[in-house]
Amino acid sequence: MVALRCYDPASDGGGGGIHLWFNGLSPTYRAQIVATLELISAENSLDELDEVKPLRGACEGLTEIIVDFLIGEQEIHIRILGFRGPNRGELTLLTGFEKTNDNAIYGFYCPQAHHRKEGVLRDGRRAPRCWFP
Amino acid sequence: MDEEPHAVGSHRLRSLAEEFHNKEFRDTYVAAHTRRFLARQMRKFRGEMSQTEFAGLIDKQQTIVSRLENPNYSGWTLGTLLEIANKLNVGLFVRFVDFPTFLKYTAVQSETAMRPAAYDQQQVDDFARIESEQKLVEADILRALEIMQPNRNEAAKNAAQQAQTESMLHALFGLERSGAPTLTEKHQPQNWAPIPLQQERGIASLR
Repeated sequence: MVALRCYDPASDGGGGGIHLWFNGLSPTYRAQIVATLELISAENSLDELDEVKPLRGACEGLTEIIVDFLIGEQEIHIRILGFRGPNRGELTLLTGFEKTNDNAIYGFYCPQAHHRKEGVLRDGRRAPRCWFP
Repeated sequence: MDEEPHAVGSHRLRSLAEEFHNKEFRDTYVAAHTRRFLARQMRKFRGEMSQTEFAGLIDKQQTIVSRLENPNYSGWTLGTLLEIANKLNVGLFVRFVDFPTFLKYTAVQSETAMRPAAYDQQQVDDFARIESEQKLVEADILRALEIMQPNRNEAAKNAAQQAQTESMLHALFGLERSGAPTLTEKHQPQNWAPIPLQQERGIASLR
């Protein structure tokens, strides 16, 4: 089992971080994310999952969770950035966004995720154990 | 740490039950869970094999395998599912259910549930033997309770039903039983053992 942790610094049950973003999404988006994260959590290892990919370049050190789905004919690409850790068997979720056609959006979210990761590594309470929904 | 899976399970139930108030969430979750779980099962069945090798095993083309592993693929047919179950020598369980049942069954995402074992005669025989013995024991206990405490008959039947449901879920999905003792556990004296099938069964042995 993979234990999820969420960057929710002001959190006493949500708010201020990943849950603030998640709670603002439509029911369809939330349901797709929940179904994906449940399956990821049930795995013993993240190594062979198509939905979990290590990032490179300016995003090096981060892991991306891919939640792709269709609404009618429209392709939706949700990305959640996080990292594997801080402890063994844990995956910490830092920030989420909807990816558009180009990758320029990573230019904003990767630095934000790096900044949040540093905060979590300094103080683990910024990313408590969490569940979706 | 031992209590964590139960904590996760109860949190999941409460949270999903709340989200299920919204029909859009409900409908999307059913579709997303089903598609993603099936896609993951297909990937688990393939294991270390290439898609081409696995395609040969299930008598399909590589492109079909690629589609079946895609959680967004919506072209599954019952016929394809049955063909794959046949080739892989596993069972297939498809039915419409109410939402509490859906929540209960989808809670099980263990490795055993994700990648079920192929048919094993010994496993099936053992399952049938153990289950039928347990049912006989439960029937004995019910009869004993009817004699000893007739007014508790209904509660005893409910407890027996619970034991039966847990046993079924355990057999189907490897689901851990809940912490609550089953009827058999509640009423069996220490040093108790199931009565052999060939032996004449009587309630006296339970007193």
